[in-house]
Amino acid sequence: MSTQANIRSFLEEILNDKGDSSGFTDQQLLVTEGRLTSLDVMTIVVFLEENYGIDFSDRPFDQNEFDSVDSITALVDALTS
Amino acid sequence: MSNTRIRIIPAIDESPVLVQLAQHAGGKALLLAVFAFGLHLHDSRSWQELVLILAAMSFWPQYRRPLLTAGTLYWLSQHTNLKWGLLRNVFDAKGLAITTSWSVYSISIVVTTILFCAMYYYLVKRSRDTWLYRRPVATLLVSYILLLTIASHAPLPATQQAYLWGFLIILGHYIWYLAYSLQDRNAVPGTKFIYQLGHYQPFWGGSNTPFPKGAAYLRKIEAKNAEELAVSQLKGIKLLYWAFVLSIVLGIFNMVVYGRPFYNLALPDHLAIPYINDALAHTRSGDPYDWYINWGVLLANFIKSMLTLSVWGHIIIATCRMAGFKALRNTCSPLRSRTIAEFWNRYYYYFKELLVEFFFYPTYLRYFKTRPRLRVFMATMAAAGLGNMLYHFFRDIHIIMGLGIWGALKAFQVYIFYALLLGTAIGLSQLRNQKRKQSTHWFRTRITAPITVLGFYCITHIFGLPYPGYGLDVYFQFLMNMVNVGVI
Repeated sequence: MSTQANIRSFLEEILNDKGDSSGFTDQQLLVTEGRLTSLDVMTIVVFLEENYGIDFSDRPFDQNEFDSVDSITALVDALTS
Repeated sequence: MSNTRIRIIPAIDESPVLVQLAQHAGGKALLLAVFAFGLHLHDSRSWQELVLILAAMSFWPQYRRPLLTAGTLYWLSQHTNLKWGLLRNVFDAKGLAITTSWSVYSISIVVTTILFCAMYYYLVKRSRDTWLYRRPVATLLVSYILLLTIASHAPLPATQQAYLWGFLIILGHYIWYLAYSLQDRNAVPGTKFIYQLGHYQPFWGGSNTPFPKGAAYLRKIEAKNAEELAVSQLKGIKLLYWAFVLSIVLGIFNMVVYGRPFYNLALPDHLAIPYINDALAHTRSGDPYDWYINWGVLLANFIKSMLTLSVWGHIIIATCRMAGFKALRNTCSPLRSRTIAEFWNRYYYYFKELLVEFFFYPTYLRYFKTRPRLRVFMATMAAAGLGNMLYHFFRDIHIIMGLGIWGALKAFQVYIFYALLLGTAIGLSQLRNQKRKQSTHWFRTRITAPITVLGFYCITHIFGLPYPGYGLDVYFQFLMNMVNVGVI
């Protein structure tokens, strides 16, 4: 599974757990729209730490980078390349 | 998407005709007129100036950022309250009137503080690979505490004390705005400081808490085309009129519960529930109200606080949306909250976001990585506990000025207790939510869960009231009286 598909599937899982089954595009800003909360962002962080070995502890953290499938994918690509 | 719900305020932002209309000059003028009328209903004293700024931003959206800065600076010169009363007290108490004028003193303090913010912002941006770049907000907060300590205890001459306190008062007001600017240090191309400044308590209002967050967030939510601007403005109008409905509810509530006249209407009989400060004063003097009155006091104050915060936040966000920024509401259906953590998110969104950005994330990302549950709990404690306490400590700088930093810490015992209690409760709530799937049972989600959550906040909010000078014992005594347990 590609990084993008993997991330998309994980976001779907988070939203489903919250009872939010309406769809979303890869560009859709889920945090900005209020569909994902800060705790959900932390769940995504743990997912990326565990699945991609990313360490966020020593770089400026920007919640905006976790807003959409596309922005998270870009972040993973930048930090793992 | 069809929507069959009954709405008090129609979903005008979902009407294709209105969205189309709002993109033309006549439609924009109409929207501004409707918004101006809404501000007038809210008794806004400066609605004409506000509408002029909004008109400029509506008709020339390509200059939105410069107009935002110009509007904010104009508002600063005319309306924004940067604790002027407190600054004036310093000016008078230190005898500065002999050597300088009030306007020179106040303007020089504000200009110095803004210059400091700009210099710090650029210094951080240019200090890549240094401690300052990695921890700019922590450095700022620690430095601020050090300066507070110096101002409180160092034997400085009166003039130096006056300028130092003045600087700390204004910086204390802007400190979280600057913190949001610093969050933006990594952005490419980022936002120049002059445009960051447009967000330092913008003309649409706010407090020490930035509404809505910082420049990075504004870039994200800014209307990118005429249609987005139209939808944003229609949402703004909707929210402003919803705030008016809530303000009527608040007015009637105040009339029925406290006997406060509403539009020159006064009830011959009302519930005559005492105000909470009055009830606490009675408790302190050993003459508490009856237990059921105390319940009424607490409940009434909680409802009043929720309504007041909602109306206030809605007006600010409505104006922000009219300016072309599609911001989320500050308060969003708190009565629907099913968990303690959810209420925190719904009640005062931008304050919660501030604590999350500057306390929760840094703790979560750096500490307790091998212990997931402790990691969540400690990050929550850092935000709802430490961050919450620091925010209020800085905000109430007048207490530090009066009592010194150690005296103020002692006076803050009630709020420290509240922050720790809140941090613990929200932390446990987060852990509980992680463990299980959300219940979908109607009675649990709509009745028992919200009542439990609201009950918790209703009882504990007493510890978060503005400082009246009482110790923790008075608050506990008040709560003991509610269960009919007398003076211990």
